[in-house]
Amino acid sequence: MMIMKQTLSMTALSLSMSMSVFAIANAQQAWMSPEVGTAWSQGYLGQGVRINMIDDFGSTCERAFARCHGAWTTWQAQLVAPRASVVTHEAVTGVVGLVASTLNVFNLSYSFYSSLTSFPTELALLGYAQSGSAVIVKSAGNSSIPVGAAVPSGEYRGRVDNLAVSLAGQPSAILVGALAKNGTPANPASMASYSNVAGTSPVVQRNFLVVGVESSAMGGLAGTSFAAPIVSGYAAIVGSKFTTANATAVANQLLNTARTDTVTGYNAAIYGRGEASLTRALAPASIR
Amino acid sequence: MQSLKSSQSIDIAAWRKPGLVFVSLVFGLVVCLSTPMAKATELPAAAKYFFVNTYLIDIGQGSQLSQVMRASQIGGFETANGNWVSFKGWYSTKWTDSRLAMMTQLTPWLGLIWGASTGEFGEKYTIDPSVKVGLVVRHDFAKNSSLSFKATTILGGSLREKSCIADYGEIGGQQKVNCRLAATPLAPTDTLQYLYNMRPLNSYFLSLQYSLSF
Repeated sequence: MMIMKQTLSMTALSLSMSMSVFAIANAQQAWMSPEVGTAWSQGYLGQGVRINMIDDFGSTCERAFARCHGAWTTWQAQLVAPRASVVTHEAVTGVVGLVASTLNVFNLSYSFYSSLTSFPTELALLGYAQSGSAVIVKSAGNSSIPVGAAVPSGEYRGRVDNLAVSLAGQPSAILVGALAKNGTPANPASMASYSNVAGTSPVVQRNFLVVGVESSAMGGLAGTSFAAPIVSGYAAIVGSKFTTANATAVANQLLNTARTDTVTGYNAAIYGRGEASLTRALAPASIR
Repeated sequence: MQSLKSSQSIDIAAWRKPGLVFVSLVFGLVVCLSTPMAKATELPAAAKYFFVNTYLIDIGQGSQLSQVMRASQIGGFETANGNWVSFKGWYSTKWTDSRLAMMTQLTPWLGLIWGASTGEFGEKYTIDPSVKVGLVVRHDFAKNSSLSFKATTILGGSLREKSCIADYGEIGGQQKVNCRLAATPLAPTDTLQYLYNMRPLNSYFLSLQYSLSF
């Protein structure tokens, strides 16, 4: 299979405990940033926005706690933006079209180590990012390397995530790395040990965000696979507020309002633009 | 013509200083109700009756609408750039809405209630001045029991919250918004439906009271 799902870092937690992490619908989850709680209290969370989950849902899917990888990422996005229309697509089924008159968000919680030229799904997604017709949110990868560097070991040793490299610099693309927790100015967060970082390329840095993946509150689930759906949910919430904004504007809003004071020793080569801040993304630049 | 213009300018200045109006009103009433009583014999009979049979029944500062705006002072939000915007300045006032109500007894069983309030204003809201009018009717069944009916209405006194202009930059441009909700997930235009636009909560008041002394 040419598409490799992000490695799921699992612990020995029981299935029942893991299920309880996501079992309470319509309530803020422990793993969510406190900023999401503020948004929740207002209602209006992602309505009118379509989140397309391109992931692994099949009968032979990679499973964690008896659920497919895609089931977890989808549930996560839905919990962050409960009123968004979240649609699942098997990763290898072909081109996923855009729905007119709505903001389209695509969540890609996977790495792609082949050339894009033979793969219409990824080519279409790249086209959406180039034209700014959809927000493309992609996980940065779990090899503890800069985006665009070759994987140092394992099955894909020496290969590069071509989808991440291609999306870097595109107007409506966001690459998402993982922090070990949600950061605050008083209690800043560090990069998760497994997460890829932005690297020295300004092109990648421009599109790179980080969010907290609180594995201890997610039954041990870890990986940048679970960072991307949070940002996809944020994009939906921002899109539901600014109903006339295009995908590029939504992506830029999340990138431009990222915080650098909630991460430890901010460095663009590690954190890119910084930690995504839903609160700031929803706020005006000035008011009188 | 000149004096009319002069009079108008005084009215406008007074409107902007509700505290001054209120203090003047109280002072005037005290003077009116005390001095003429001392010289009651010099007044026409109607005026004498009015001053002797008029009673202060309510005086105070603050109203339910004032409290709504006091509560709005709490909190604020961070802008997209991380600057803190406090609600305190927008919803503070130098003068709290103050009221005065009198009752003039017209007959042994009928009274006229009348009064006024100053209103108040802050940078992002206004509570209009108001006039209160009403009647109280009392029937004595015996020396120790009576039934009274009171009806009052308040004219004016509405709370109106003003909007803000928020600049959302590339994603939303400049938009008119509810100042308090500018940073919430609500669409900017949707926030406007939550602007306070309220009449006094006791605009119409009816009461029926039976009193038995023992």
